[in-house]
Amino acid sequence: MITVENISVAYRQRGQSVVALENLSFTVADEEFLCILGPSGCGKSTALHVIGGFIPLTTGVVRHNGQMVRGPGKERGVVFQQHNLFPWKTVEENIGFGPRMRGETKQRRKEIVSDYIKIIGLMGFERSYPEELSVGMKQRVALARAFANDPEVLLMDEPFASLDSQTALTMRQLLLKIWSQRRKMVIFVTHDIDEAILLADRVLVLSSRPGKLKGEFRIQLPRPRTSECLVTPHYVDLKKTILSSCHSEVMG
Amino acid sequence: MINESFKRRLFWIGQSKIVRGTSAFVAVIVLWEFLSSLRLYNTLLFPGPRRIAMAFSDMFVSGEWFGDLRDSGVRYSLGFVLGSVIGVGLGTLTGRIPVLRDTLGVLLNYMRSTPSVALIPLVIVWFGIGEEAKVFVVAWGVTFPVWVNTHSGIAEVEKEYVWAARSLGAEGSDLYWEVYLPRAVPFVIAGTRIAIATGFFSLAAAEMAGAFGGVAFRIFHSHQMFRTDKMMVGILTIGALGVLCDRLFVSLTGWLLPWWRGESQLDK
Amino acid sequence: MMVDFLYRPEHFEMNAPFNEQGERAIDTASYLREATGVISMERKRHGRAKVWLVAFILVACALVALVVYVRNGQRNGSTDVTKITYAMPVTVAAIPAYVAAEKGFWTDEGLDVRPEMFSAGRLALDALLAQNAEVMSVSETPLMHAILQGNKIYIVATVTDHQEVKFIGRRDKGIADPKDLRGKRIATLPGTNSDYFMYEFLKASGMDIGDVKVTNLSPPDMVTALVQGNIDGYFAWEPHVSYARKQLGDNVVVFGPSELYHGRHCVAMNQDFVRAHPEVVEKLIRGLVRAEEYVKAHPEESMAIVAKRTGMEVDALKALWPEYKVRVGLDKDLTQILDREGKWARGINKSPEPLPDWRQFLYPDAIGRVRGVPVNLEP
Repeated sequence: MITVENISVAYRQRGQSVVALENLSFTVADEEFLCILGPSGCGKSTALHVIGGFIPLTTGVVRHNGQMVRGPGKERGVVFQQHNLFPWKTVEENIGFGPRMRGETKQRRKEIVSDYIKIIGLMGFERSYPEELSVGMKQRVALARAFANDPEVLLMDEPFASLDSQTALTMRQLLLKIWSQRRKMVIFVTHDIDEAILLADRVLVLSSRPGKLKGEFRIQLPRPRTSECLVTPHYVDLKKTILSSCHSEVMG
Repeated sequence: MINESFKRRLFWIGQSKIVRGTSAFVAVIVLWEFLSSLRLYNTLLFPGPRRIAMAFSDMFVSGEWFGDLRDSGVRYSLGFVLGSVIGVGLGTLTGRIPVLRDTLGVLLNYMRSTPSVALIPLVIVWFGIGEEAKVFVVAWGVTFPVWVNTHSGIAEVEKEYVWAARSLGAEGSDLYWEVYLPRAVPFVIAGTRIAIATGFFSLAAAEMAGAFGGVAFRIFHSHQMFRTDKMMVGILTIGALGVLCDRLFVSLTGWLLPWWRGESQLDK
Repeated sequence: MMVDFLYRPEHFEMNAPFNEQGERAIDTASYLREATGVISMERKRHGRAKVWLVAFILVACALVALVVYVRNGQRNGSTDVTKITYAMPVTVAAIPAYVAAEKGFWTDEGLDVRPEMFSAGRLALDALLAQNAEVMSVSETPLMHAILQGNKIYIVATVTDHQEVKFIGRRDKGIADPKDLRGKRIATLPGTNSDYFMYEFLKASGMDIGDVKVTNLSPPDMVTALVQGNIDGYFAWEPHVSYARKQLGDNVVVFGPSELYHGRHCVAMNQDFVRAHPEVVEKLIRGLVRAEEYVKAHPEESMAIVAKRTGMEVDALKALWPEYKVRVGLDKDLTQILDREGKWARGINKSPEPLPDWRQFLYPDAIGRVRGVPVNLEP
């Protein structure tokens, strides 16, 4: 379980103090899929970075299973929007990186890697370098790499934002598929309402800077969720509710 | 009438890089020989290609040219390796550790501006006139471009790579070997490529004082003895050596590190 | 359709088959572009660009040739010349040149001489040969080399007789006698009179170059190297011998050239210029002759002038002054000196060609007119 207790993040930019997050508090349960939704620049990525231990807090504390988060660790995996894969390593070396750091044997590593290669559908690309892959393929490998290390928590920072809508749809299905087989806590940051509703158990809406909690919505659509549920009335209701929450944001 | 397919074949040949490059050289040589035969200037000071070719064949047959290549080659190789290793070592330190960046880095930056030629009198005092002195001067010329670029490479590693690595369980020295150094490799390569050329400048400076052999020494010595034709052979040799080393380096790094060429495509 | 060879490769459809005329079809996009005239315009642009390029190269060559030709003409063709450049090396032996420049003796003759200082005689000679200076002076050895290579210069006068070239060696390296040089590390500057002196010095002790380990350094570096102990001795000219002696004191032994070598500081000019402007040569020599008288009459002031030009201390200069005899003239001893050095140079270069007639490179007319006595160069 992750508890975010009253965190604020402020930094200096060009001599001025900028508050990215203000008094944000929430909790996330194990194996829960949480989406943090908000407009650009609202600090949602900052919140994710703080939870991951990548950037320091100004006030407040983040706890993972009761322990204060002081820095990155293998219990909290991450997928960024870009600069994920190590360009100097092949696909299989990237995916096998976590297991290798853990000290797994070569045999075991090979098994894990080939498992995931099959899941993400990139057979034949094991020896390719990231530069030879398309953006969609790279994000697939990034997903595989994060899952292969089997962390308790997976932090995802708008991972599908730079993909075209077709590829993004496929990627969301892939993510849900893997997640359904290997349940873990996922904290997923996005600006896309459809994405949030499709993926999450719960959606937190963040206001624009300084980021404050604006709304919290439980998504009760049944799983597995396919793109068909995007056109159900229940979905439309949810979207309306969340939209109005966001709109007051954009106008405000 | 020249038929169309001949014209087209000519066109394709004209697209070839090798043909274009060679024609450029040939054109220059022809033009040079022509101008020098006109005697518009003192050709004893600046001989034409024919005299240079004759001087070269003398030096080749007598073995002098090979001896010079060997002497210069040894000095350059040792100095290059020494300078590269030191440059990379210093760069990984100053790029990553802020205290060192602000102390050692500042000193190195100052030393960087000192050209090898200006250093020669001091080098004679510290090292004498033996081979160590010359290797040192070459290393001096090589270290700084390598250091600057390594430093940049290490300092500018994208934070996401470091974060991702740490979230996958890498820490401490793992990070160095798995993330920082590999990420810095393209920068190191760029710096080393520059250092190839600056190494040659330093070699020339080193051989001007207290040498018995070597390509640059031969240039200097021939000048003193009024053999401008031999001098030109030396100058052209050094130029050719520089180009050769550069090409070798590019091929070698392209073969050893196939992934780095695609750097710019990463952020598609 | 017909394919013009100026199309770029991307216009060809690589996988299309050849048609009956043996050409490949153009892909649709290129065809469309051509239909709208874009390609044909590009082709015209390319064609015109090539013409411009060729024209530019031709014009550039023509300009360069023109400039060089005009410069040559200016140097040798123009009538009255009153301004010339004198390339002077930094060396004590150039005493009369420094004094003449400082005291304006040439201006009195109606000649505006601009002295340009060079750190080495070799560089000053380059300036003359490249026609960046009309006159220069240096020891006879570089001039000998230049003549052997076929450079068309005239030696118009010798201005200083000197014995400034010496050997200095360290006692603690085992050098006390000329024969002790065998097997030692000795430095010299190739192509200069110190290089030649080394040859004569070794020969006098029954040795040759192969018996010593020769390294090439510039005189200031020689001083450092000797003091550091990197070399055991060197051949150089003053003041670089005194500098080392000052630092090493009794630990050194100095051998002067005595009868083995007499150096001459000579004034040289390009032959074309001399033939075109003999009156300039005469004015030049008159100024130097006046300088010679001045030096004899005012030694203290002359020393001060030389000290300023060379950057030496006056006291050091005073100690060396007796080794220089200012004497503006031209005589047959010079041809003998040149001849000996010429044999040495040919020997080093292993060249079988005969030596030139050195008298062809001496110009005694101006000296003769100034002194009122014709110069006899016959052997």
